[in-house]
Amino acid sequence: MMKDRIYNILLERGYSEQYAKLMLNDLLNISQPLDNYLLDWMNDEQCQTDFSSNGYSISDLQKERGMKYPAALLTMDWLIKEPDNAKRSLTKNK
Amino acid sequence: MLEDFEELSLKGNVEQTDKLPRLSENQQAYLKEVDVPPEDWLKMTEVQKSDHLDIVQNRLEELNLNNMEKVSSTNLLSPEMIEDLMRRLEAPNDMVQIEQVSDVLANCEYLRFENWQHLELSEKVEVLNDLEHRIANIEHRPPCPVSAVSLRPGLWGGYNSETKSIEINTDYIEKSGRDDYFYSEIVDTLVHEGRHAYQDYNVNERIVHPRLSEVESWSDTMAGGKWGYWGDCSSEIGLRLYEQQSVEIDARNFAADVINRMNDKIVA
Repeated sequence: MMKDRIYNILLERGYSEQYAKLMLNDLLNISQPLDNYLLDWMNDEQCQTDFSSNGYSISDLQKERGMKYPAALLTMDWLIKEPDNAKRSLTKNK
Repeated sequence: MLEDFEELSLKGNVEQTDKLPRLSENQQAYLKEVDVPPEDWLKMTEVQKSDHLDIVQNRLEELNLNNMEKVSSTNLLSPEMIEDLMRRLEAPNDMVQIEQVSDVLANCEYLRFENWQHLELSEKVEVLNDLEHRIANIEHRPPCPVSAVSLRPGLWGGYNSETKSIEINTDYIEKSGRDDYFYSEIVDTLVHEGRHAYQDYNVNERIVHPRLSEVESWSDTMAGGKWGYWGDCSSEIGLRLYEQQSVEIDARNFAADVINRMNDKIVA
């Protein structure tokens, strides 16, 4: 049920079917408190709560790297789960 | 044309000298027939060259002549044509490529940090272009122009599949003359983006990579492939999923192996 809802909202908000499928599993398993921020965004696209971890914030990822809110949430989730790998990737983007 | 010549196959018809097979007069004439003098070869369009190389390649296959070193030593075909022909043939496997590319990097005097740090930005870009030519030659693909461009912080460079070019962050090239970390990452970026050029060439133009299954997996994560992502899609799907693309994993690992081997060779 939740899976379908996320998928449909991503499509409604401009994501391709391929990207929506690709992101689905990661979004379903996103860390706390990001899971609540995702629900808020699903209810209202304008609701984009900020959060910081390991020297990065969701708003910075959006502003400096042009990330959409779900992309910034997933990148923040990576920073929480695997901070070293995520930080390395953020500084060595090729 | 083949019927004009008897016993063209090299199998059972080759006089083995020290190392090289000796072609019979008929075989030599058969091969010489498709030679194009260098001055004419250089005037031909890419399409004309490609069509002609199909003919040459077929003829070499008929003669079971698949070692280009041997073909070259016969002096029956012009070197310019052989060079273009070699690019169409299967590239060495990854281990050999890693060895050869790391040799090129380790033996480049300008790339030694003590020399590199004194080069102007334009000279550094010139060296990177020269290295890209050599790397492309090893990988049997056309070389890409390398340029220094202004990119956002954190983005080292990229391969543009539309323009077939490599762009590297100007700011980081400049810093590479002062800081060992930036220097190492610039070399890594050149190899990494060159690998993307190799993937693109294999998926979209000509398969020269020895493992077809790998080319298929690269194809899955390129535009039009199963997952349809190519280029910097991290703004859409986040950085972790971006990094998990088969093309990114492969380029990262290939560049890391090359840099490790290069460092081993410089230290030794």
